[in-house]
Amino acid sequence: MTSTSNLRRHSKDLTAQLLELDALLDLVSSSTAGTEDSTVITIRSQAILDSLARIQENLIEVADGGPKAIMDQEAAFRTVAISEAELPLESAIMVLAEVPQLLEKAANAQPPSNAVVLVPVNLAYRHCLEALMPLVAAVDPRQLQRTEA
Amino acid sequence: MQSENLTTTIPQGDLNGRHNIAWYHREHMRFNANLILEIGVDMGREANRLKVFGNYWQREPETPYTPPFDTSDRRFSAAGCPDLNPLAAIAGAGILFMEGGGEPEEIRLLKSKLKFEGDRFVHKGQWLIDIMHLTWKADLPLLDPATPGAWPWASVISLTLRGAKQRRMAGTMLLVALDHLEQVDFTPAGLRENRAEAGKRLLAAAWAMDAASRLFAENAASLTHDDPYMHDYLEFFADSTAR
Repeated sequence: MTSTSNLRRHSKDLTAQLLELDALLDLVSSSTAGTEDSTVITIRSQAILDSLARIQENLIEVADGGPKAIMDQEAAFRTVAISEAELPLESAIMVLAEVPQLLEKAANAQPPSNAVVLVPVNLAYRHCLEALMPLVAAVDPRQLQRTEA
Repeated sequence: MQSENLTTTIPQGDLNGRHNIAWYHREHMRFNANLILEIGVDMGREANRLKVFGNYWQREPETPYTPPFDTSDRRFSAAGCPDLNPLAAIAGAGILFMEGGGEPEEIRLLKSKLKFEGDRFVHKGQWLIDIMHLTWKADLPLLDPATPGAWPWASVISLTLRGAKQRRMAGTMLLVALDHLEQVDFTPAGLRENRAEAGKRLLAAAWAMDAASRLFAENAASLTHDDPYMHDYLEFFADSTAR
């Protein structure tokens, strides 16, 4: 069963990846196709993908089979939030997995351009933000204070 | 121009098939956006009906509107239960507990609706998830530097996958609500044994339905975001077939 501090931990993990994706968007926007930039983009997008996959695994594990008819409402709300947070991550992971192949296509295009790579990166950014929202919404500040006290 | 480049890699017949899917499913998505929103609103309303009773059962019963009488007399089996029905709420909620009745018809109907919609969205959600995985792999060639007009389709697939998972979870939440209701004995005698606890169950069921309602609403909102993407995607085909 998950706790408020768990919600905060997952929120922090997702926020970190959101910032990584934000930086990656800037990097891809300003990059030149077929150059060393592509190697950096591949490495960074793969690192984000791995982190999001780990977060997804953790969320699935913590949700423990998903929402159930339990009478502890605080725990029920947290499980719903954890389950909701997992929903967009599969999409984020699915699109990010295509970045290396798209970089190759971009390098071979006439004229070369990394614009197509922005599609999965921007989608992953959006999905990461979607995943963050239910976690943030489910944090009860009163519980948080008790946790930190 | 860009579409001419595309035809060098994708056979025209495959493009035509995708064009067909874009046309027909854009229209179906428009319908679904409203349908899902309506189901969300309906579930929100149903949840509110339960909340009225759930809250009341945790308060002291209101004073009966009539002097006492023999509630076991079969002639009065249709008499309303003052401790179970908040009188002012009956007209809006449409649920009536009667002294000689068992589980009210309205509760039975609600359970049937939760079972039907819950199962439907769990199964349809999973079906759509599977379809989106296949579509993503099959349509990846459209995500190409030469075909920016087709890029919005990648967004639609990605968002539809997320939306399908939302629908499946909404179905799960409706089944969770049903599970709560199944644990309540809705006969007057059963409710009077533990009125407050039954009230808590009703609130728990209602909150599960609220979660489903929220997921439906978010999915519907996302579908309306997809409409401009689909518009752009259809323009791409207009270019490619105008060659």
